[in-house]
Amino acid sequence: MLTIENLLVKQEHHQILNLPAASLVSGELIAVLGPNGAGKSSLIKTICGEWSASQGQIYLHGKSLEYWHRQRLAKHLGVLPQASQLSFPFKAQEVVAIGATPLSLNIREINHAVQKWMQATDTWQFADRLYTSLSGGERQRVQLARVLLQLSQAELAPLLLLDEPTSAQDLGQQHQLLNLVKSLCQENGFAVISILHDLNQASRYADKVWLLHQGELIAQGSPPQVLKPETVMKIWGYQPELFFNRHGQQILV
Amino acid sequence: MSYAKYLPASLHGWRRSIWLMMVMLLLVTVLLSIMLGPMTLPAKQSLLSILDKFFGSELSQLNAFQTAIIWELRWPRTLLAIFIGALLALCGAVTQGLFRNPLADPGIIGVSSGAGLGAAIAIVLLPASLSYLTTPVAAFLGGLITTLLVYRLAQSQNGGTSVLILLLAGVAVAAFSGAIIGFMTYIANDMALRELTLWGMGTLNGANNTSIWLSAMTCLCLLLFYQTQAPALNAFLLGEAEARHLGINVEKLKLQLIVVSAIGIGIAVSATGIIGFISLVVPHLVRMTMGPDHRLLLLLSALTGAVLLLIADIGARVLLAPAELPVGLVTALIGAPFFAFLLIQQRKRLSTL
Repeated sequence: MLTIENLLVKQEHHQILNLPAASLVSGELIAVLGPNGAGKSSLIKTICGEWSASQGQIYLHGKSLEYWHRQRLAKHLGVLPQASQLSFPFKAQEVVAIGATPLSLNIREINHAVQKWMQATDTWQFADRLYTSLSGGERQRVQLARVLLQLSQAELAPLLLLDEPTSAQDLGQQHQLLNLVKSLCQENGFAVISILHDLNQASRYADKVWLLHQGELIAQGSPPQVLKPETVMKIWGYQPELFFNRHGQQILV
Repeated sequence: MSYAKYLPASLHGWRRSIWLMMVMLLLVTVLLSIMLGPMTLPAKQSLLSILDKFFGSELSQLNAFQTAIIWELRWPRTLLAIFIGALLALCGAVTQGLFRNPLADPGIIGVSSGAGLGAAIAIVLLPASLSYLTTPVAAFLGGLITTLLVYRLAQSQNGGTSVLILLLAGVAVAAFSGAIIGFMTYIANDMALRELTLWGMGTLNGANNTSIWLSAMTCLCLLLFYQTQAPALNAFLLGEAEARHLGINVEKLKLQLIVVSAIGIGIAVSATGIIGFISLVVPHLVRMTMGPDHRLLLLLSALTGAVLLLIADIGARVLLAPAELPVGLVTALIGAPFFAFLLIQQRKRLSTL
């Protein structure tokens, strides 16, 4: 459903991203991995249209992103930013309700959807608290609920871009959040591209890994194919030990 | 197409009655504004006089002189105060939303000074016979140029606006326009000088049919336009990128808001001179009690702005009666301490900038 062709992003004559070909299908969860400065955030920003590519095309459901109608695109492409600056005292549930901006829902339907997605993201218990008083992890989950509400009227399979969704969460919440995302892929046909840092989390949840290094997509494929100890050594500069759990999944330590 | 999403959100508890309370408050203030001044008129008779005017009855026992005071002096002034108060509060609320910053008041960031500069140039240099037209246009242009300039200056790398640069830009613009206005004062003839001085302090004294109609129409148009943009403004508060992802044409929205607000401030400044702090204080008060949702904030700010400027104007007439204070001084007396209070409240957040 998402196809990237010959993508080249430059800023001030400096190449920051080069993706000859990449694609994903509905139901797939892609983990974007790579060291700092590899171009992971640039990739997300380019796909969602915040940055424009100097060359190449990105197609969503067979149609170039440039030709999507603004509001229709909003119903099919959701972005969870790493951190949101909001200095006005909205309640958490009001922030989530803003996700309904591109949708055609009446007030009762919005309230219903807000509750549904806040419960799914484990944020309903502080629906009436001020967003500005929440912790970083809580804010991120509220923002996730907002983005999921935004995608709730998609006619085609929606694409969800997550920029380090687990960075501010504690361990339990990281897994809860990734489980939620995983189930959206499996049950609702979402396609997800998520920047992750933990290689084992990527192995556990992602269907595929895109490995970026210095702006180049140097490997893509299933996690065990891509995340070999020698690749990790080459890119991150440390030699991991490889274990296998009882399900035969690999663990890098 | 459903219009429901532009309407104010439903309210709970005591907040349900906020509309009724504000409208009642406005009506009471209007009555007070008619009654009070250097010559106090009886409440009942003033009320009857209003009824007489609108229903053609003859209930009021006020004499011709008292009736003239009401309809020649106080009534136009009251109307102008309502519309200008509403206009200032609206533009303040929207400017703060546009800059995603509760301190970004048109007065503080220099937009009012810019508009004032435009108007001052028009008063002194352009022919007085055309001033009803040239002054608002020049004020609008001054305000527009300043807003664009300040917005460009304050835009930071991560897409937010920097408070520090905003406030400093305000200082720079105020200093610059102060200097030019000073020069204008220096070369002005006697008539222009008098107009310039009074108008510089902000006064509702000049209420006439043109200024009342112009501000009323502007107020109405701005309210309608802003209200249709309320959901977009709410999304905009999350951040520019976030608003774009929510399907909003951010560049167009920003340009529209900047131009329309500059029109609003330009009209207000040309009608009454610079009346500070209404645009800062009112949206804050509304946000503190009702939350920052623009669907509610805009309408309520307009109502509250009207009430507050009316009260300030009553104060301006009564405090030193029979002499009269410029209303801009009164709003500054109320507003400046409020601004200091905001600074203290946000000191922790601001000091990290």
